[in-house]
Amino acid sequence: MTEPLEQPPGAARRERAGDEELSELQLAQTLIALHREQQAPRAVREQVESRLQGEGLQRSGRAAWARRLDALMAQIAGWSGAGVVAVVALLLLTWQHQQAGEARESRATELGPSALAEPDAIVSGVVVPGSLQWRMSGDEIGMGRCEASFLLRHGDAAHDEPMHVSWTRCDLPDELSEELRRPFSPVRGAPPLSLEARGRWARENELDALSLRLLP
Amino acid sequence: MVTDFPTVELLGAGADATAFEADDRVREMVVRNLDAVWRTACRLGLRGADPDDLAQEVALVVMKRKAAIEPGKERAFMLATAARIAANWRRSGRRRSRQGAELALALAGGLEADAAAPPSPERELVRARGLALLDAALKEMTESQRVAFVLFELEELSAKEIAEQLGVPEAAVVSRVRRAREEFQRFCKHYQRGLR
Repeated sequence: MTEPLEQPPGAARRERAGDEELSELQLAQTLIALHREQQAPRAVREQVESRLQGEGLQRSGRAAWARRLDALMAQIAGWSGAGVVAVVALLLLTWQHQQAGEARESRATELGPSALAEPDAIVSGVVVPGSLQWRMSGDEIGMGRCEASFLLRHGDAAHDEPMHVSWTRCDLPDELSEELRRPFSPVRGAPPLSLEARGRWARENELDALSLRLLP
Repeated sequence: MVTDFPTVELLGAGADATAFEADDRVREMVVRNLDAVWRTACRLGLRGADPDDLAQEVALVVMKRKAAIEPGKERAFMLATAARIAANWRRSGRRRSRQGAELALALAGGLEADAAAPPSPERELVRARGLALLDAALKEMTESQRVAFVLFELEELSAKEIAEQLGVPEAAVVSRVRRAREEFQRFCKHYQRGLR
């Protein structure tokens, strides 16, 4: 059985305390009060709030889309009443149906947070064996960070230079990982591994991939 | 180029991407308890920019684990998280060394704290000395005692809350607080006698 603790320290003994003990209690209480008055510096508060704001801005594209849609629906409802809402809802249902169909087609082979951002480049080619460079870091609270980069040789004969593809997630398709780690040559007897990368150009010939899809 | 990582990367496999959103609840939670987290980091021995960094780490943990934080236990969760991270940093040698001069200054100087006094350089100096004195007292404790004392006495969490958040029996928390109080009172007594 746990005997309850009193809070603050020594409070119950205050009445019977002599001058000396009262003085010590006063010191203890003063120190505790000083602690409770202490505030984080304004700069820290601003940094944290800014960080929170930044993370909020990085919400998934779908979530952002949903919020915009909610706002739009509310606005439309305010403007024109139920008739317009019904028409818009019908259009959206049709559009969502199309989107769901597309998602079903690609879900089996596509990896990566493709919904996070709109890619502005789609490239395909053959991965260069042994070109994988992999960096990982982690902190004490289990938040791992990864960055992989590898070379992708264009299917287009006009491009001699393979392009650099960066991938900032901690997972890679198994087949891709195996192929990229192979030091000299493709897996014997297997066809070259082709993939399609969607992402953004970081600089010329260097793509930050948002999704990777193995091509048959 | 390991700087800006997609939000989803910090989530476990299969996690919902929206779990990392800094929504209104998270913002309110973090902003409301930021001071307590920061000063707890100071009391647990972090120095320099470490309390600032720890405040940010705690905010990230709150964003990541928000679904697991029970309503009404936000403050306890954040302070216990701060204690855990501070302990990890100390173990990994991240903590910067205590400045001996700061401690000496605190012990040598008088303490006439008056909470009602308006801010002034003198008042700030006394405040800084008082806090350094408090830190010196905390340094007399073991780490587990210090964590229990800071969370219970200084931040007024209940023993039950601390036990829940740290995953230890409540009796252990009570025992640690008792021993920490003895150390604290002994320190205050010695300090007062030294002034006379």
